[in-house]
Amino acid sequence: MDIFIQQLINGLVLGSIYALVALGYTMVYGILELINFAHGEVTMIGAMVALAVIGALLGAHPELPGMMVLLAGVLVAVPACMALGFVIERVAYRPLRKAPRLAPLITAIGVSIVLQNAAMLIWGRGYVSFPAILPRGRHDLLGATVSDLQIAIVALSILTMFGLVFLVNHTRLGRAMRATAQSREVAELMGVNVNTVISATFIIGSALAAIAGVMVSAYYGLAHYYMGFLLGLKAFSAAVLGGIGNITGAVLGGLLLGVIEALGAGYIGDLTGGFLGSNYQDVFAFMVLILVLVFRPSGLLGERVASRA
Amino acid sequence: MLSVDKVSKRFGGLAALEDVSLSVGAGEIYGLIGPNGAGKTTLFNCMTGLYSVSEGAIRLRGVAVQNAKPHRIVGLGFARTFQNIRLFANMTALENVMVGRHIQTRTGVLGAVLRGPASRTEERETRERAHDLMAFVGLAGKGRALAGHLAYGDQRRLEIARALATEPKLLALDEPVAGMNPSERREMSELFQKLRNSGITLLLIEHDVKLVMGLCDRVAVLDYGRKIAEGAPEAVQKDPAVIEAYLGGEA
Repeated sequence: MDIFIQQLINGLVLGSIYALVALGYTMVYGILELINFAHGEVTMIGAMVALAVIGALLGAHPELPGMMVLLAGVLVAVPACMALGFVIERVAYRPLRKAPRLAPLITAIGVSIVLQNAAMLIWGRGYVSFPAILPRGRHDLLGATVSDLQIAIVALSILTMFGLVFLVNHTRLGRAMRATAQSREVAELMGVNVNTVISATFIIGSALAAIAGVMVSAYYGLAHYYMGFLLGLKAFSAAVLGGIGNITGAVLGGLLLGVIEALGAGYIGDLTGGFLGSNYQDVFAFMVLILVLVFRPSGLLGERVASRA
Repeated sequence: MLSVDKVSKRFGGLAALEDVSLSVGAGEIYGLIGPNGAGKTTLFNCMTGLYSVSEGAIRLRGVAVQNAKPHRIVGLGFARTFQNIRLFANMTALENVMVGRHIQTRTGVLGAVLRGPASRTEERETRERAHDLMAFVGLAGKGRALAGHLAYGDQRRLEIARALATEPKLLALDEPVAGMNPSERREMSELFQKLRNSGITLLLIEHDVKLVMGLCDRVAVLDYGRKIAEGAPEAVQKDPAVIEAYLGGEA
């Protein structure tokens, strides 16, 4: 039972990070029906930029409090990723707005490769480790252990998601986004500048990705130029699981995927008699993706594709 | 208010509009009629920036708007509704109208997130204006319903309210009474009069010749992409070319 609760907690922490990244996929898909496969790399850039700032600050002023250094890292990483998201849309997707749907998919993969290699050139091929500036408190919960970091990740994720839901449902920009998602043409004829709305969508999604990138590197204690690939694929799976284009679905899919992965990793050894170990954890995300695509392609909360037309 | 000057629109080799010219004066109710496929909706789409024109010029309050972006044309005071209703079906009726306010408001991402006093005031004003417009078109109290769940006639009214939210000087209605029964048509006709009295110029595409004749100050008749007649309704009604277009030359 202990391991069950422990893995459930670990899964929820991981899942809330997946959810943040999945939101970026789902928002862009909702408006453009485009899978922004470079989104995982934006997450990676967020982690790398934050770590670079943290490293530089600690090098110059080792006496600064850890939380302040971390905050400085986040405050640089978030706008950096917002700018990056804006540029990606302008350069790689907007010129192809009227092209066949395969074309922007190819440029998305191109942007991924460029960003990975740029990160490798700037920060090197090796792992960049997260300095020990985080609180290291641990608490008992129903026989399992929860760290301060885990609590902080979940709390910050929830806060961010509530912010996003408020933005989408109760503001001028959010209304314009929903209108554009339902019909770009009609939104434009009602006076909405659709290009601005699309840019804003990329910018907001990238801000969430930056936060998720810092969280993931803090959680695993390291960052790497290739980390965005797997994280991006898993978050994409989460978005598909929840029903791509649906914001609540992305959150649900992310949390569910995190829990499935953690429980799978926790029990796979027992289930296979020790033949497969917890290093097979990544398999679960993609098993889920395949099962969803086979049995419920529209996802848990997704609409039927035909009703969007 | 609006002048269309020798506009042609071709799709490949097919000429949907040939050399069409017309002008709508401020305060008028101007009707655009013609048989199916005459090019009425194509002309609408050219005016509102959905299609680029192949030749010719369109001026809105003196500004050349052929090939301008649709949201720019809305900004100049030209709003429209659609022949086949195109509401944001998954949003509430009130939200549909609030989207129409977009161009009249300013709050950006930062303002919306930080909830400054200016953005909160703006949001409240947007909501109040949307409520007023709903009441104006006869939909008071129906703001919370999803647009897609409203009755057919109410959806037509909601489209008008959404268009009005952009604060147009010129409102173009594409077959606004299609599919309505006579009493609904009468109510809509009253609504159009009310709109005109509030200072809005109306451009009306309509099949229902009776409604057009009773309501419009002037009408233009399109047939096969050409304007075959223009003038006061009574005169146009007696025009042999119009009678031929409608009755297939047997009259």
